[in-house]
Amino acid sequence: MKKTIIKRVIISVLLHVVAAFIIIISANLVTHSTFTIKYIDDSVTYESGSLSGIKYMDESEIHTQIYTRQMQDIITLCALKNTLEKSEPDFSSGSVNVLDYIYGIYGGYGSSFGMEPVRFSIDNLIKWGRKGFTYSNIVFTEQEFMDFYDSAYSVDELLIYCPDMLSSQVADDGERYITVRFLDMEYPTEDGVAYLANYASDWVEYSDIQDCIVYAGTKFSQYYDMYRNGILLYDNHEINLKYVIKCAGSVYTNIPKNILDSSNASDTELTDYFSENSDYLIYYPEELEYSTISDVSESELYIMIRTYEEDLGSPVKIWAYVNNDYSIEDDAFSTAYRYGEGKRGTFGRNIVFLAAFSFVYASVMFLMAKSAGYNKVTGKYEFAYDKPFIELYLLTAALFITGSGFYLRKTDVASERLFYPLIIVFGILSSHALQSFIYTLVRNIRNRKIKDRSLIYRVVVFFSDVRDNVENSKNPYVRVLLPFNYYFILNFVLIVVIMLLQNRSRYFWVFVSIVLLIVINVLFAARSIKKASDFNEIMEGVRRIGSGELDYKINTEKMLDTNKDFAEQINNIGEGIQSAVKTSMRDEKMKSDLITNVSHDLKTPLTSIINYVNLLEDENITQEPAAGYIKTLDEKAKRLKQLLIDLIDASRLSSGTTEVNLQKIRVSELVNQIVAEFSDKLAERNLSVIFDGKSESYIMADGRHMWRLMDNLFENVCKYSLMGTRVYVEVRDFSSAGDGDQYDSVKDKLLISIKNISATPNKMQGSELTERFIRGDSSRTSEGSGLGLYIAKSLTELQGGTFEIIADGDLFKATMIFDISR
Amino acid sequence: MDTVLVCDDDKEIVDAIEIYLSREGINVLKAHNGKEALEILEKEDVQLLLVDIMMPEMDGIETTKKIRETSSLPVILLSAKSEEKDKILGLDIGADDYVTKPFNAGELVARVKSNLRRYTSLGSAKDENSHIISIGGLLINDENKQISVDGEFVRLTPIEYNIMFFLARNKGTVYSSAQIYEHIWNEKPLDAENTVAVHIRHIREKIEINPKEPEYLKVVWGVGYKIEDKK
Repeated sequence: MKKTIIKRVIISVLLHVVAAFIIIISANLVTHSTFTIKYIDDSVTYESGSLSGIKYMDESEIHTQIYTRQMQDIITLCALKNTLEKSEPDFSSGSVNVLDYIYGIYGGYGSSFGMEPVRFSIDNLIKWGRKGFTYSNIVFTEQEFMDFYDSAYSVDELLIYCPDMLSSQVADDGERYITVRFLDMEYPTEDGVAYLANYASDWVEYSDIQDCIVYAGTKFSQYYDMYRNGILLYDNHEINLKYVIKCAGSVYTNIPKNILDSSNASDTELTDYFSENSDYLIYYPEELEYSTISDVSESELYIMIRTYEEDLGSPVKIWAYVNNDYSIEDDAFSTAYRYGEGKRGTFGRNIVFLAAFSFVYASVMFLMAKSAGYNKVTGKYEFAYDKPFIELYLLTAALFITGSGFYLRKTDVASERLFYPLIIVFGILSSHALQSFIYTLVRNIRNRKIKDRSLIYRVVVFFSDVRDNVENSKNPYVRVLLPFNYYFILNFVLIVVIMLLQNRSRYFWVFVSIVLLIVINVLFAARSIKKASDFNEIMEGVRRIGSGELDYKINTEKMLDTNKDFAEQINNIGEGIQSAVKTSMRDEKMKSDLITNVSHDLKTPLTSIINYVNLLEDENITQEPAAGYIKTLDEKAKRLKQLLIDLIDASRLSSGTTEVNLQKIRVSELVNQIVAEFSDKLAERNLSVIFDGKSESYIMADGRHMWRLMDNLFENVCKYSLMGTRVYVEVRDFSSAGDGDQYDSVKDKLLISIKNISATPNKMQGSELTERFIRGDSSRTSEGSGLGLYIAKSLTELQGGTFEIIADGDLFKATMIFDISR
Repeated sequence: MDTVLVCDDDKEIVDAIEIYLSREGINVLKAHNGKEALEILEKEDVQLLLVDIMMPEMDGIETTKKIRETSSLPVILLSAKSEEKDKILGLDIGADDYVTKPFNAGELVARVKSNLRRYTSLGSAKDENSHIISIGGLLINDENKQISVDGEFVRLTPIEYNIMFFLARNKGTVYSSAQIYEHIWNEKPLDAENTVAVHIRHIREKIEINPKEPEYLKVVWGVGYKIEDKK
């Protein structure tokens, strides 16, 4: 155990060392990828990548850019020197007549002539310009204003000439007041005068003086900053760019006198000297002479000469070259050269090292992660520090890594003394944080606790639990009102946020919030619509199951959770009913089968009984009471036979296994056939059938079933009718029944009724007579099974008809209604 | 003297049948299952087999099938199963008749005798006379206006004979009462349809063994009547 831990610690330390290497190499790559060169008015960052692959520095674009910018700077610097050091090199003691200076620049239109010089020390002007100019307003009456100078201009003319300084107001009493904007005199003139008005002879001159002071002050303060920068960049130490600039009698150079006495050298000598160098540049702007073997363009230089025309004076002549061995260090060219060299030399090597170290780091990390936290004793992967959420580790690692990245990206950090130590510390911390995260992640996945240890997962689970609790709440207020309130509040908050952001002009966030608002509402609407459509499907399912389609299943796959539960419950109801129906059908079938089988088994002994009773009868026994017994036996045997036949028929009918073959049947033919069949039996009881056989109506029915049911009915008629009465058979066709007729309910139906007079009083309701095992006479002594009417009713219904028995006093009436067939 | 083999597992039924058939002068052999029946058939000269369907060892259906492999001996099936499909199955495997239990002794005897006659006396005695219509055991001789069923003459009234002859000449076709009336009486039926139905019931009672389940003159309920065409 101990050994393992020590081993792991050592490997970890080595891993962090590798991480430190990786970050050092990265730092090298990053810091060497760009370099920055300072110029007078700004600094430019160059990509050292553009130098890679170029053999000679002086052929590169960067070389030309630096050359051009430095030449521009030197021209500027010379111009500034020319102005600021005009009288003496230490210009702070010099002074300038602002009127001359400004009018000189703008090609003096002569108004300064005859004006008293307004001289300020350059020092003071620079200070003033840097500090800024302030004004004080003084209000004059028109009279006071005009009296101030003895002037040829009228007030209105003055207001036009000096719009910046003068303004007029008319008071309520009609008096005109003039407001004059006076410059606050921060510094006195060289003459010691602090009151500018004295230098002017009218308001126009005064306005000019003020403008000149402000302009000169602003300009000199600008010049001063650039001048200082220029001195710092180009005069205070040696540079690889060598130049001589001659202008208006002054000569500026950075070549020491002992090498080249530039002040006393003639132009030809200078040209000879410079053109010996490889990268020379010779430029006489006034004479349009420009010769160089560099790529510096003449127009770039001319722009600068034009800009500082007044400061430089004329003629201007420029000689320059660049030391192509860059022997002078720490200037722009040598920096660029160094980076270019660096690119060529170490870039590829660094990339290879980086890849190699990264590979080693990743492999070792992988191997370590595999066995992280393995406990040999318990065989489990556990570690005390796994308890916190893994997001915490991830966040820490991300913070360190991105922190290191940001630190590296800062371009000037490379020059800091603590750069490398800091970057190493960053690297090791990042590595350690990453290691902790990966180990924890691996262990948690191994232990299947990743869900518990993930904050995001827990939060998601928490909210979905809340949602489930709300949606499944038994309390309707919670279930309906709460989500609605949340929705409402969320909308309200978002709208308020949008308005606040709008006020603060945070338009991007306004846009984001509006998108969020739309998304939330669309989602809510979609959910509501889904809920409604789910409900429709459930309704459809309920309707179909309700209408007997018991095996119908609502598709719950894509339903919302709450609806899903509801729909599944309904499916269960359907299944329940279906299985109940199946069970009941199966039971009915079993009952029917049982009855049929038992009946068949009963038939065999009954056959013997009937036959032996017949044999007895054949013996012609006349001796009483034996003859009577035999008669009874015969009757009961026959009754038993009929009972069995009826029983089989009834059970078959009630189990729904009877086949039906419908065909067109002429009702009067049928009745005639039946009556003919029963003619003997009817005659026996002296019954006469009254039937108007003219009906030409047809019905769709099964002839055999019709025979069976009519047979039953006539059997009853013969059995129970009072002797010598009439039996009425009626066939009524309602095919021509009109709308709203009293027979509307039987329209297009055919009615067959059989009426007879009962021999014994009817004691039962008509409907009871058709139930199974019930007979018209309660004594249950006469012939018949009591199933006859039940069978008749079942057969009628089987053929799509309706069957009704009416017992009205002694009148017994059986009615069948069928659809007419045409 | 005809010999009938009666085969039923219920001994009393066999005995009762023996009594009835003996009275008609028919010699009866008895068996109680299909195997016994087949053994007897091999040894004895039997003219008809009366066999129950539901029996142990070998049932009536199996027995009939066996017999039909070698012989055209008349077979009457006896069964408690009264359903149409059972009858059809029985006739399909080659039985000549089907009697359901509990049966009427007279009907059974009549059927046995009818089948015996058809098998023994008629056989191939088919006269190719155009005046004679023969349908199964039914023979109509138009020359002397006589009808015989399984060789037994039947006494019919002239009207009854005309109906029979009309239906037999157009065997297989169903005629309504009105149509029959028109043909026989040569006048519009009016209220007389009932007359035809009654006549036909009388004919059935004369020519059929069981008028409720007629073999020749069939009732098509609600449509009319026909004489079934038999091969």
